[in-house]
Amino acid sequence: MLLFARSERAALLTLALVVAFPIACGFRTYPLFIATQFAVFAMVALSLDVLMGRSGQISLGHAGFFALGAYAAAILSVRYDVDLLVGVIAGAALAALGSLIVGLPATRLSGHYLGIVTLGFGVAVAQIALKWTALTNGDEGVHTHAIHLAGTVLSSPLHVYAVVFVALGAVTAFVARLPRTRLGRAFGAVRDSEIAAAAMGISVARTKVLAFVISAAIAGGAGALYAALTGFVAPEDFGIGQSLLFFAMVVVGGTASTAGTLLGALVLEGVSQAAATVGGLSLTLIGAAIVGVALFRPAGLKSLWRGGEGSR
Amino acid sequence: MLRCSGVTMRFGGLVPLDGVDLHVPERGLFLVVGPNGAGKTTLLNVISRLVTPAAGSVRFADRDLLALEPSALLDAGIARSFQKAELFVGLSALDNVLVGLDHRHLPERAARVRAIGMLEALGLGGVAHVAAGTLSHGYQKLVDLARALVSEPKLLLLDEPLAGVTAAEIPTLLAAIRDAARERAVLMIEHHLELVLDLAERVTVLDFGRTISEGPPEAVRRDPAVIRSYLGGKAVEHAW
Repeated sequence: MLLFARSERAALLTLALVVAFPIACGFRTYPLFIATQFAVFAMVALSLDVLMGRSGQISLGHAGFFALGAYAAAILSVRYDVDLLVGVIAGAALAALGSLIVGLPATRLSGHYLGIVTLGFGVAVAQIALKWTALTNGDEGVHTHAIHLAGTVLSSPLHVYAVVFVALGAVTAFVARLPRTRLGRAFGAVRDSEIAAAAMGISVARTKVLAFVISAAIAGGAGALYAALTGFVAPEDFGIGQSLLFFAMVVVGGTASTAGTLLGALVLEGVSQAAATVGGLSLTLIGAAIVGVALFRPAGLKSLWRGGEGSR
Repeated sequence: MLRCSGVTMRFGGLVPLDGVDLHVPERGLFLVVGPNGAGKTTLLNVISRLVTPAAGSVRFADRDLLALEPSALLDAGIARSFQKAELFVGLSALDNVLVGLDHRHLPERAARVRAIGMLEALGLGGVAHVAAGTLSHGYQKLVDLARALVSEPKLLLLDEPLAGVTAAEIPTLLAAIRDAARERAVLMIEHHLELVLDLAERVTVLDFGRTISEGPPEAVRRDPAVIRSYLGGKAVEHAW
């Protein structure tokens, strides 16, 4: 057996590209910020692929879980000046809890109906963030305190960049290993045939909820890191557009593929950044990317290399 | 070991099972036959808890099966295959078989060794790492059988294991089924009577949800009720 499957090599290459980008730019602040933001979004995209690609469910409101994590960490930072690790754990826990609201009905819903429920969840979270001003400061948002991790203040963008990339590495390793575990196989079984999964002793409902909980926890943890990166969270960061961006990253990259999802995140984040100066252009380009992939590469960018993971 | 008594199933006005009794002892091959719509698959679905009958009881090794969740059956020692294979198409053949073993919570390495052994025994060693959805129909049926057999169940339920399988693949499948029936009870639905009838210990013939004949193959073969209802006059000699 090779040390890394082809798909894993593609994942590593994508990560290496993004790590190298700010280095090539001489660690200037803006490229560092862009690369770090990519890493945060890529974690959310990977979490969404756990749900969509691995367990065959759908979420059109993943920015909601991301928001729960970001707000939990930001508010804990402002009020109690907690360590970033505590913020990440709290963010992951709150998002996981929130996922039960969606995950429990998900055991009875699928396809379009589940899409609508998750879409509604995403919208609801953003609205609550906007309206519950006593907690969230409404549209003025929450400014975090100075971020510190294990007693060290993360004073420069380079520190945050390092922390976020370690986290992305951990999430990537977890997600890439998942298909070779009992849990990952149970996800695939439930995705491909619920009756056969049940006949093989798998509790279909529990497995579906578990996929939601794990996916949301990762997205929530990424949200906490996002708060640390921007130092500021506000409702407009977590709207439908953001949910659709995460969704597009998975679809463009190719579901059930770690490397594909990372590449999808890279392409879409690159497109949004490149077009950010012209109003509306980035959304147009994202839409074009989805249509282009749907027409010419329905399996997503992962079909560029294929093999490795069970193709689907 | 398995005992169904008076199993009755209703879907609206349809009565796919109407007071069916079935007894399956601990070892051997037991065949359920009958024309399309006779209730064969419904009976298998009742035993594997995919549907709950309106009346009757299903007991297995002195346990009330109807009190169990579908996902508890494998732990109780009952595994099944599916008419349309129902493989996990996005997983490799090996992962499909591993799913059949996962409820045992074996160490990953030990589980892999056993799953690969199972695949090799059915001549599937070469496709272990191929996505199950891309395999030929016959190979899919074999993987389905491997997935059900790998946990060494006490009772194996097979729903038309030979349907759509090419002539070249049939001997492997038949040999595997015969081997399986040496160590456990195998309850099988199958239309290819010419291939399986003589392997069976006993045969149950269903028609319109009722048992019209039950006994050893040679007796059932000559039962006038079977000939009238199932085989319809002249077709008899040809079909049997």
